[in-house]
Formats: sequence, C-alpha cells, structure tokens
Amino acid sequence: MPNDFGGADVQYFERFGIAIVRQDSQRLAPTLMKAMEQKVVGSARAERTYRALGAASARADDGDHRPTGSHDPDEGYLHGYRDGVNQLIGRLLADKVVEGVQIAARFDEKSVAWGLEAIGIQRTGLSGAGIKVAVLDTGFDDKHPDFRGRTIVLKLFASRSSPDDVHGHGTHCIGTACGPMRPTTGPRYGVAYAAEIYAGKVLGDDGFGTDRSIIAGMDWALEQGCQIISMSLGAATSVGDQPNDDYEQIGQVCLDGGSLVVAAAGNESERPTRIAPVGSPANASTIMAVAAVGRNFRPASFSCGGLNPGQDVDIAAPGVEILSSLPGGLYDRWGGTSMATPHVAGVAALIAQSDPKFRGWALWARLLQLTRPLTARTRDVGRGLLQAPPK
Amino acid sequence: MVATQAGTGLDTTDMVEVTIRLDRSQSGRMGEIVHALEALGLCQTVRHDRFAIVNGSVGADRLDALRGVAGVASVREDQTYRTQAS
Repeated sequence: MPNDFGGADVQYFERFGIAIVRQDSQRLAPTLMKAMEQKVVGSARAERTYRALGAASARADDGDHRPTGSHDPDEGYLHGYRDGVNQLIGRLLADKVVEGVQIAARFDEKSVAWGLEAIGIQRTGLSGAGIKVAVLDTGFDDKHPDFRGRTIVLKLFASRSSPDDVHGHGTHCIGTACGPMRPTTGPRYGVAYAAEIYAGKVLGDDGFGTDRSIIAGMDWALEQGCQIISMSLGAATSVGDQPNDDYEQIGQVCLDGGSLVVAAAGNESERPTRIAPVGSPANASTIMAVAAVGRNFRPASFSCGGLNPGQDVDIAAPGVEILSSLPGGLYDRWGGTSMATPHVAGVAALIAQSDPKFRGWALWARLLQLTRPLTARTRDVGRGLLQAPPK
Repeated sequence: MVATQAGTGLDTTDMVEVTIRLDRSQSGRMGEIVHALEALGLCQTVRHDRFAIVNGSVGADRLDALRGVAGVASVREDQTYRTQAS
C-alpha cells in the first residue's frame, strides 16, 4: 500500500487491502491517477454513508467518552465508521476461532473422511465429470476395486522402475483427488469422484525422481489436455534460495495452456522449533504451493512456510491423518503436504467442471477466492483453507 | 569397466543429467539449438518444445560449453525430488 496520499489523512486496513483517504477530491485525483497507473491502487470510489446499528451501546462499551455536546457531523460519522469496522473485525476473528473448535469436535468420519468434511465437500453437487486430472507421482494401482469403471490413463516416465505403484504414494494421492463417491469400505475419501485420471509415474519405486521424468510428465499431461496437474513431490530449499526459473517458465506455459499446476509446499519444518521454506517446484510463482493443516486447522508441524520473498504458500488443505486408497485394495492414513495437494487438485476439478471459464489463472483465482480465512499466519497457510464450490 | 558414450569418447561415468532452458523468444530455433548442444556432447536428448526446455546427459566438464550456445538461457544439473509424505 502507498504510505502517503499527498499528505492526506489516511487510515489503512491492510488485512482488507483498503485505505480510507480524507482529502479534497480535486487535490486527491492526480495522486490517485498516478497510483492506479502504477497498479498500487486497484480502484477508488467516493465513500457511501451507512447508518450505524447499535452504535450507541458499542461506543459506551469501548470507553469512548467524547463530550455529549459535540454535534460535528464529520466527527460523528468518523466515530461511527470506526466503531463499525472494529465490531466487524472483532466478529470475524471471534467467529473463526469458535468455528474451528466446533468443526474439529464433530469430525466423526462416519460418512466422509475428515479432510473432505473440512473442505465442505457435502455442500457441493459437483463430481469433476469431464475434467482430466493428472497426478504425477509413483504410479497408480488401477486394479483397486474402488476405481472400477473409471477412465484411467497410465504412463511411465521414471527410469529403472516398474510400471506399477510399488511405493503406494501415488495410489494414495489419486484416491484423495479422484476417489469414489461410495468406496467399497469405509467413508468417502475422494473429492472429484467422476474425474478422468491421468497417472504419470514420474517418481521411481523408491519414491524419488529427477527433473527429466517430472518435466516429461508435465509435458504429457498438458498434451493430454489435463486441466489440473497435481504434484505431491518436491526438493528442499534453503533460506535465500531463488525459485527455479525452469519451473517458473513451465508453470507459465501450463497456465497459458489452460492447465493449473499444484504442488506440495514441503515437509521440512519441525514446528514450532524450525520452519523451513517452501520447496521446489512449489516455490515457483506459477505453481500453486499447498500447505498442510490438521484437524484443528493449524499448520501441520512439518508444513513448510513462505520464508523466501515471493515464494509463498498459496493455500492450505487437510494433510494430517488422511485416509485414502493404497495398492492391493487397501487403505491407510498418511500425512504430509503430499496429502494436502490432491485435495486442492480435486476441488480444482470440481470448479473446472462448474464453468469452462475456470481454467489456468482463472481457476487459480477461483480456488483462492473460495478459501476460508484461518487464524494462522499467511506465511503458513496462504489465503486460507481450501473450500469446495457450492452448487 | 568404463563404458564410453558412442560418438563422444566421453566416459559415461562422468555424465550428468541436465535441464537446459532456452529463451522463449528462441523456441522457434529449437532444432538448431539442440543440434548445437548435441555437437558439444549432449546425448539422450528429450525436447519439450512447448516449454522451451531440453533434457539430456552430458559430460560434467561440458556444462559451460553448453551455456555458451546462442539461445540457451540456463543449464543446470538435474535435481532429485521425493514424495512429500511425512
């Protein structure tokens, strides 16, 4: 935000990205024009007048003891405005804390896994039908009974590896992103239950892979027309590192081509003692970095944070004790930003299904627009908790 | 026993995998640039035209030579990535 509007009286609300400026309109106009040209200011409008509701009691409670004989309309307006904003902020923050406690207490997982309930999956009627989701990982067990009848495309990129998901990580991630509406056993654990699955095996049987296979997998996914590319993988970075320009460029090409890339922020933190920076390739500004939260909506102990400038966490999703599928018809609970990432991929598929205009950057923006604010720092949870689109 | 990369005389034990990024403005010259890179020892080449990225293997002592090819923005040794389950 600018810190000066030509010496005007300015009140900033940084949380909302808003500034209230009191200045003669003719004197303010050139300053505003310049700020808008520089894209420091997005828009400006004259203030509207609102009638305060219950302002008298609020004023009495906050210790405002201005003389009752004052009839200055400007002063009255400003006090009313201040009280209104303070009340709003107080209510919003209080609601979030209370809501978090209530939701955490009622996750019984009788019908849906806690992560799906946390993102509001029951509010949406969307399924991801017609949307192609690429999960670039350790492969996929397409014989799992929960995936009978689904459209599944498999492709091997990892060298010196079998085509199967020996590791299990890929099958777990695909289960979260695209698992069924009604699994053969247990509660629902998959978000986009009708999406088409593109499983690119870019990590070997040991769970490791290199740029060669990952970039080949991303190129394949884009070629196949996948609207979402999910990558629950990463390499650690250090404070002071720059993002990898290769993935900056690749992510941009994907977005321009209508494909959103989401990636795990990384698991190198040991909170509260140590917070590690977002890993690569999630630290690229053109790839959406996903942090993990637990049932209490606090950052998971391992979840990386946006320590390096411009290498931010973009969004947070459930990533602790996540129930999903494993090879051999099995299930288990795993944790990690790996598990948070396919939640975002699945919801992205729902949004993409809801309107074809939500592709690439527009899909990115819509995901962030739907998030629910959390009390944790933006550094750790980005814009907030992932939320499924209502229908 | 030390294997030798055909046509280069380089020991494969010295080979490193690299990711090469081209200037996007030069992506129309991808074929020409890859040819120049291969002449300098790049092998097992995979082109990603839409990304303006080339992957391949090369002798560890040839990295700077590859960086000198017109149209190449960067050359770096490949990194290892892993699953992010804790």
